[in-house]
Amino acid sequence: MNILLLEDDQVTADYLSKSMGESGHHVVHASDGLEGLNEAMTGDFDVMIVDRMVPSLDGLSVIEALRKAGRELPVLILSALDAVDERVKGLRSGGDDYMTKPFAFSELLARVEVLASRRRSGESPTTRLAIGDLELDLLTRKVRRGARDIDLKPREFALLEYLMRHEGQVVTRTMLLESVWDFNFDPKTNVIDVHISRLRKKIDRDSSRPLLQTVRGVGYVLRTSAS
Amino acid sequence: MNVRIRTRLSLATMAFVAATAAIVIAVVYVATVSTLNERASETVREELNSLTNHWRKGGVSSLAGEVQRRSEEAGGDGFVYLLAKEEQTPVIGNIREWPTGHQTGEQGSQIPVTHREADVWLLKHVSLESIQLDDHQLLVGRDFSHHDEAIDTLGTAAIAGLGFTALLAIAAGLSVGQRLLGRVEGMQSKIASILRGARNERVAVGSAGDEFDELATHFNQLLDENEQLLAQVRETTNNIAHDLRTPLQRMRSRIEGALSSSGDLDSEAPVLHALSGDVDQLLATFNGLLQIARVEADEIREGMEPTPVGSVVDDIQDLYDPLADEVDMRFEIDIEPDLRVIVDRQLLSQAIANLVDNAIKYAREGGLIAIRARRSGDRVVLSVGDRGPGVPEEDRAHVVERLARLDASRTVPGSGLGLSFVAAVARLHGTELRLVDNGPGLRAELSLPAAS
Repeated sequence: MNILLLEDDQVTADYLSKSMGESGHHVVHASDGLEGLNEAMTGDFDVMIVDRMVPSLDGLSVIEALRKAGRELPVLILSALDAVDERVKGLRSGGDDYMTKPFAFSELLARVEVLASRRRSGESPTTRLAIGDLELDLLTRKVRRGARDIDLKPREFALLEYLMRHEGQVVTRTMLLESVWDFNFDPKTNVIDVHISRLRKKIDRDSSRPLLQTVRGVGYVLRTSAS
Repeated sequence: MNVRIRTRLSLATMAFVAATAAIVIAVVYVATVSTLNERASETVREELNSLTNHWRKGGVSSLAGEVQRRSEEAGGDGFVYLLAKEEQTPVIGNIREWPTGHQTGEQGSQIPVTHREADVWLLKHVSLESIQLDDHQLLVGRDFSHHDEAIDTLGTAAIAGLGFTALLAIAAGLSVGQRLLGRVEGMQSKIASILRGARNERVAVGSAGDEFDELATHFNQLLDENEQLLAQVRETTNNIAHDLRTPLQRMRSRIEGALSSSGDLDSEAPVLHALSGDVDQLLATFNGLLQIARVEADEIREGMEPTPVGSVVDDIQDLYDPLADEVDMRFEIDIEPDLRVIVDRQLLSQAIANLVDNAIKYAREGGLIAIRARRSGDRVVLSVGDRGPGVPEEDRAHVVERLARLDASRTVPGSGLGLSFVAAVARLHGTELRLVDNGPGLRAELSLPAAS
């Protein structure tokens, strides 16, 4: 996919361009706000990564200008400003996701891919999600794996729903905490791992084809082994 | 203590004013009494002299006649006369007998005498004076009972005056105390509220320019200076933070880059993984410190809103339940229904999460995480307790400090910032983190502002 990167730190920009390239994505780099806005208005991108503190026009103003012009390009804000109200400000200005520096590239990649896919699929209303022989019904709130009914607690259901909505995409622990629990902080213990292992026991039990996989050092992904 | 000062002040004022008044009144009283007595003596002496003149001019017979005349006329004037021969035997006069105890020639003696006219006419306060004239003695006296009345009245007035003065003094003392201490108390309560976290408030400075105003001004200057120093420290910290973040970010990116290009089988992979872990830990500590600094700098106050305690705790329990279950611990939640507190929800959640985290890390053997919340006045006391080994009383203040960890816990992974963060959140909400003995175990208490 095509990524527009607005970032004034050359080292970070180079590294991101190179790493994204290795992951099969193409990066266009803009190092000041006006250049970034110009690229965003004229180019065709799947997602834009915006650093807040850049020369000439700050990141939030760039996003606001984009939204005013009616562009729905998904934007991920990447900023060293990590106070809760800074995050709120960023999302209010039209950003779709907010990540704080320092960041792990794997986390950034996961979030960018989720954002881009949201754009591709749209938020199509759906009542039923399915991966392989795992089915989740959003109306009856029933989950089945093949012929077997799976009994999930409400939070496990929400967790599975999130993973299924992002089939094949790596999601990080932080993303899960934010989306499923609405917590913007990282607990120091491995709470998420325990939730995942419980969910895994329920959906992958007795199955020769486990769906819920761990991506070492990054997070989790729900996918059929074939894909 | 204030009450004591006020009482002391009014009592001291009263004592001082009353003593002054008493001295003035006593002087007036004594002077009046002695003047009156002197006047009485003078009047009597003049009468005696005038009668003596009669004796000089016309001898005893003229004197006797004059004494008789005056005795008869005297009546209401209150004069008493007695002309006596040797041995003080009465010759003529208006009293029956020579007053017992009065020596001839004495001046100013005050002895009761009995009037001739009536058995009952006892003159209680008679100023007497007598003189020896050859073989006769002449006694003149005057009843000054009306002086007694005047003196009595004066005494009564003096006592009443003293009492009134004392009351006035008490009132004055109380009102002065009230005024002075009122200002001290005003400053005191303002300072207390500043200490509780209202750091933008200042002590009110009056317009009088008196000592209290000076004190208030100086105190405010101290606060301003303190604020400036804090701001400088914060700015420096933030600058360091931003300056350090970028190289740390690059270091991390480069390690990740090296890891992804080398692959797990490479001989450098273990070193790179370890490096990555080190950088992560460095960043975590760094972020933790910055986060505490930010909470302490009050930058998050606007996120505060009425929040149901039950739902915050439910979410935390929901997050930690499986982990607790894994280590054989269970939650015991006891929260009064409909409790709401004015907090920043994310911060409170994180604070509770940190406390639960600690319980799971350090109090596993107790098997219990007890979260309680109950209303207490306009606060809600929220506590997270465990049944673990607890923290010795002498270490409790220490564990709240940044990066502090007890020796016994060095082997358990952790940044040593968890409790400092909770303490900072507590201060942001105008309270302190209290660590108390849970008998056994540790209980951390936060008193949060209740939403009415």
